[in-house]
Amino acid sequence: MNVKSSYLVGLTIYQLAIHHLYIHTVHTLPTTYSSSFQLLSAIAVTEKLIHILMETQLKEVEVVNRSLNFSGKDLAVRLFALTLTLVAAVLLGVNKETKTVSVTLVSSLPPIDLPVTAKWTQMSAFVYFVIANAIACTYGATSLLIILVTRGRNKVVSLMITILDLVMVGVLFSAVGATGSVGLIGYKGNSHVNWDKVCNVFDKFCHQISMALFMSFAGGIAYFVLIVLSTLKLHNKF
Amino acid sequence: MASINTPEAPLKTSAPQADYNRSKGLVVDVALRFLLFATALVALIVMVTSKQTKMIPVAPGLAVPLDANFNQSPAFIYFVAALSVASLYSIVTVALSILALMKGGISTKLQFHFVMFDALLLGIVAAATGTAGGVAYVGLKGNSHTRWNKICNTYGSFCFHVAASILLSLISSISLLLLVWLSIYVLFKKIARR
Repeated sequence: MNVKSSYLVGLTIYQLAIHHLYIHTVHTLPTTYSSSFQLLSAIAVTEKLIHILMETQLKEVEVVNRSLNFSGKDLAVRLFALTLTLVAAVLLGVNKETKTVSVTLVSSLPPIDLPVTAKWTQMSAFVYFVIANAIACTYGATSLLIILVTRGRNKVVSLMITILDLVMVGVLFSAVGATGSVGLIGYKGNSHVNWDKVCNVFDKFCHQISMALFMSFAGGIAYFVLIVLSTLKLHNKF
Repeated sequence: MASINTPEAPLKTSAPQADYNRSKGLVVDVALRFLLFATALVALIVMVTSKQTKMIPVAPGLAVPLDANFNQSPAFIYFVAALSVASLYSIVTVALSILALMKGGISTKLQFHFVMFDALLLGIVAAATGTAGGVAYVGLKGNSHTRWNKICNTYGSFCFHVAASILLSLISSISLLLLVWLSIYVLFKKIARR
């Protein structure tokens, strides 16, 4: 889908929404004609402004596409992957929860309340997850900068970036796998080896882990999409 | 996206030296695919045959036989499923690669498909390695914070099987990585030559 058609679709949706809003306003405020007319004129002015803005942006995009040798799609997906892995690393890196658990030491005595802390450094799989996501995030920022600096003209650099994208796919998916399996044991427990579930106590901790997992999985898929995009770009040259 | 359906130009104009280089790349491709097939299949077999039964004392003077098996953990079940997919895929692609080698050169279209599906399978196999590795590490070392006791002091042979299987699946994911690198490099060279 090129920029022009997406712009037309966006403008149509905007006009439909405005029309709906206008009808709604007229029906709910039948007496205040002046305010509805003011609203109508304000809408018209906004529409005109957006139209002008979109036109200039369209021209700019066309100019950029002519002078540079990388696609905006590639940069957008890379930025997306960078953000997702950053959020995943931060979400798990700040994850800490303290709960009070009553422990019965001797059955004749009443249970004692003890504060127990769950932290991400206590499990090696989580440490691996944070490190892998931090590496993927740093690499995403570096490759973005390199593409912007070389303007996508250096062929060897773009080949290296594709090669390293693939490494990031492997690293991110293995981190998601490791954390997901440990998190599943924490969520369900495993009766065969007497590993009890911990998510009934640390619910916020587990929720944050699942959010980070989802983010990192999406980041891995974004790096995969980057490889597909660069392969398609190679394909179009044949 | 409009130019994706353009007819492919014939690639047979290059010199014999270039043909030799291309078929050398194809030989390496077949060898790597065969390595992938072998490691995935052996990892699968080692994981499936990892069952171990031990007499575990549950009370003084009373011991019951308890199994350690791969299907007791969802992580290992996923591992087995992913490596089965990898084995089947590698059988098909080894056949396709050998056919291309016998014909004297691989078509560019097939190579693009190889890149896509190899990258997808790399994700699946890497996730399987990570999954099994994460659980196996807890089984090896235990975790005092969650009171998950280590089990490898009891089920030694089971853990040995799991460790060997994870190592083999690591090798198969590395061979997938090398396969995609090789394909992209060959495609890149083809473009540079034109």
